Amino acid sequence: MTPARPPAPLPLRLLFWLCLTLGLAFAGDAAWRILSEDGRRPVEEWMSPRHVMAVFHVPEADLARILGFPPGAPPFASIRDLAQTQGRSMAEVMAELQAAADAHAGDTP
Amino acid sequence: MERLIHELNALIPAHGASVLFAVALLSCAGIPMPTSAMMMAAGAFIAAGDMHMAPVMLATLVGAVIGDQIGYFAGRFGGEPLWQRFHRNARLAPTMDRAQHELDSRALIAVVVSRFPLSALGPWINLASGATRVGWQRFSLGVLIGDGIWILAYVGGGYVFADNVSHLSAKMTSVLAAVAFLGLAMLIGRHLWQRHEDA
Repeated sequence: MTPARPPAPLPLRLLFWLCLTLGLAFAGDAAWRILSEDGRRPVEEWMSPRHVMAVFHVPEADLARILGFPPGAPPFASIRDLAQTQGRSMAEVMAELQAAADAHAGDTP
Repeated sequence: MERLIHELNALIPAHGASVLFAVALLSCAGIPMPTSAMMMAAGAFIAAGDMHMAPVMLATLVGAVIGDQIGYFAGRFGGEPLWQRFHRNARLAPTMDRAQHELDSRALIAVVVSRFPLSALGPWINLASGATRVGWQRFSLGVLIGDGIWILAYVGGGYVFADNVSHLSAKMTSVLAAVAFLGLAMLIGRHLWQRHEDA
């Protein structure tokens, strides 16, 4: 017959409750993200011109005009960096890009 | 968190694959970084033709493996004395012995699974592996396989789902963190229940 084991130490019980709480919090966050998705995909400032062209079907000429790069040579740079190079505000550039993306929302590649 | 992800993603075009090397290294060494979300962004850049797959995968893999080794050796040289100190406590020693035995007998699979899908546990498994003297070769093999799967899944995911990478990465991070913490809670809960039954 094996002797009775002492009760579990307090740190282990605390760790159990911490993991359970964090797990449920992340599960709730994931559920909220899935349920609240409206299908709209905003242009984001980390994206590159080629990424915007591929995902939002915005013509290169429009992007070149908004972001100030020579047509035919979309650089590998973020929208944020291109806006800063132009000395324009992020809000202004993002509004123009979002309008261009919305205008081409139904286009196919 | 999303703000931080956007800021870090914007560094990828400016600095290329070296950003992924640095972020993978830091996150695997235990500093919380949104590496998975950044790998998905890199996958989207690859899909758009801005980057090439091979340098991205290689830089991220090398960074992750170095970060994991830092965690392992931090556990080996910093954690082992701490482990021994707690082990002197008669109440903790049996539990610690069982944990050490469990980790040692399942080291390879534990290391692989803690890279993907339970990547939130990776740095802790690195420290525990070092502190409990899991064999370095077994640990390194697990790290290489696990990190390879992790990087392939996220960079590949970003490549395939390039048109929805922002939404997807935020959801995947939450889902995988939930799986990791609930899985850990289940393991600890099972152990606590067994103790309760035995007592």
